[in-house]
Amino acid sequence: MKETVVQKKVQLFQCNWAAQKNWIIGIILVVLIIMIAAISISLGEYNIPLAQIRDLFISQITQRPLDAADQKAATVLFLIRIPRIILALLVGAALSASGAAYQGVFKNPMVSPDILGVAGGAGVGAAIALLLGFPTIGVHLLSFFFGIGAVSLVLALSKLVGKSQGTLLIMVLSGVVISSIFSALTSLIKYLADADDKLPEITFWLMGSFARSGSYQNILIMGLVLIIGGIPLLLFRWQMNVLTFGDEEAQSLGIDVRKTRLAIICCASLLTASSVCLCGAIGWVGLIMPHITRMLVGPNYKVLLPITLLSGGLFMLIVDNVARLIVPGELPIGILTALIGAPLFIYMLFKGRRDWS
Amino acid sequence: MKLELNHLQCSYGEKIIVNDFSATIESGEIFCLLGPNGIGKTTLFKTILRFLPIKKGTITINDQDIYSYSKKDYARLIGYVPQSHTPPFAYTVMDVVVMGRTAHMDAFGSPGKKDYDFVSALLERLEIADLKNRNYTELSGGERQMVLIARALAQEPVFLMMDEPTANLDFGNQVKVIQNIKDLARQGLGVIMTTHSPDHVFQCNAKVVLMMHNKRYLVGNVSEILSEATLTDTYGVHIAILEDQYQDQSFSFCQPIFESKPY
Repeated sequence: MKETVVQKKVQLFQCNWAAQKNWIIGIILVVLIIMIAAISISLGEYNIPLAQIRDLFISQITQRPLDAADQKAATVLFLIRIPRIILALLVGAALSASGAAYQGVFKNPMVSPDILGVAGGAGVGAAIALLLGFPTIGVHLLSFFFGIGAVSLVLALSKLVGKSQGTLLIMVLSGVVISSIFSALTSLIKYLADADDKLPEITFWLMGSFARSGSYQNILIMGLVLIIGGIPLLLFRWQMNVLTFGDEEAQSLGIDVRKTRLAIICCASLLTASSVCLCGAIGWVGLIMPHITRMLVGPNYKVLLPITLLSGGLFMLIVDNVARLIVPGELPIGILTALIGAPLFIYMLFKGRRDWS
Repeated sequence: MKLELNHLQCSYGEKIIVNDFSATIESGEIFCLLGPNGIGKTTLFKTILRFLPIKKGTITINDQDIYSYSKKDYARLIGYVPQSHTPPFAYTVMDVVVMGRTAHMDAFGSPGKKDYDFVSALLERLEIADLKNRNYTELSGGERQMVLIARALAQEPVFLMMDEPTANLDFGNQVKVIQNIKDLARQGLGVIMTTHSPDHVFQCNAKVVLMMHNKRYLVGNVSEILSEATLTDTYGVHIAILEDQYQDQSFSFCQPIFESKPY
């Protein structure tokens, strides 16, 4: 008798745990982001102790004049470090969410902004715009259209090759083909670019880095892009679940497949393209973060998408810290994400290959 | 409610597969599409589901053209049970069945408590509540078929369209699925299904369209349509229909007659 009461309590606890688990994971992620962001502020080549950071914040708010040493610290803190941290969070969130969205809409766990060629295409678009001296908005727009173009090409190619069956691998291979075309175009643009002025700019930017992109203007841009692209994705997150069952089933469940998919692809491509415009091609984040998040909270996009925004941001923040601190000067972050992402992906291939066949 | 097919012409791409086909299906009826491979069962089936466009003729539900319904409204009229396949992600059974509620949500809606309660009760009714928290990808074929039926029922449809519901199932599960189909029809649902087994048509005592070569169609009750002559003509092999009694019930079933060739 007593045992059954205990059992019931255990069951109730498990039940509550299952219901609350996702909230708890979300809250843990938010706390981690705040903590690591706070630590990141003080870390760096120019070390600012936490006490000084506090004082600087207070004086910033109270408009108190600063001495020379404080002045320098304030510049590093407010004009370089804080914007960079915020941008890393936003870009990580954007790439991770767009990867999750592509995976859902193409019902393929092996695609991502980089594998689908969106990042490559967006890079070419942005490079052309830079070469031609477009204003910021022009760079973003051209990058976006090239990104959409790239994903459309991949889609068309995999439909053509795979007929109606379009297996997972054919789409990945199509992505490889289209990506390599765009990378050739990138090389061409570099070849054409002015070696003194434009070439180093394009080269460094394409390697992927937050070093030069951390500014309040860029935060504003990325924030806006996250609102324009991210909110529709959040609104469509239940539909993404349904789309993973294929076009016919999704339609029979009452979804306007073509419109929904187009909207999701546009939003995801916008997120990717603007990330690429601001900090170059930072690969792998959009592939591995949705996977890791799926391991944490399951595949349901209702939960997965919001959590992946947080986990993607957190991941990018941590990796950017490593990129800043690991060597004097700094490492392009794209190198690091590839070094981390590729082995992780191989692990997931082994783990998941049973289900994917 | 009434689903009417009037002088329907269906094509797959440019090729006309089904021509001048008419039939009426009432809710509460089981309607089987029977015929050899490549005869157009799937084409006809997908045309009714609006996956393929109508070439000529009309399909109406309640005297309204099916294309006059919005996608969402149509999903509330017709539930689709596909042949089971593996989705790319390991959703729980609950997640999968709740997807059937999509047509009852707002445009940007997610399922709420109401939907989860609805599905829990539904799973209870179908006696698969114990699968609720299992991963859909880990289920057996029979369990998966039941989950897909549950998902379609979660749409609260008037008609259920089932694509070879017994394909890839062992004998016991075939019987269970047929039993479920009969129960659902008795509760007032119209069931339209494709099948490769004339025996299933007998077992459901269903209305049937026998799709024969040269675009000939025989529509009617199973006892009127399925005979030694029509089945032999349709399938090109000799099929006899036997009758037997068991505990006051009489049963009809098909028996292929094999030629005994001398060595």
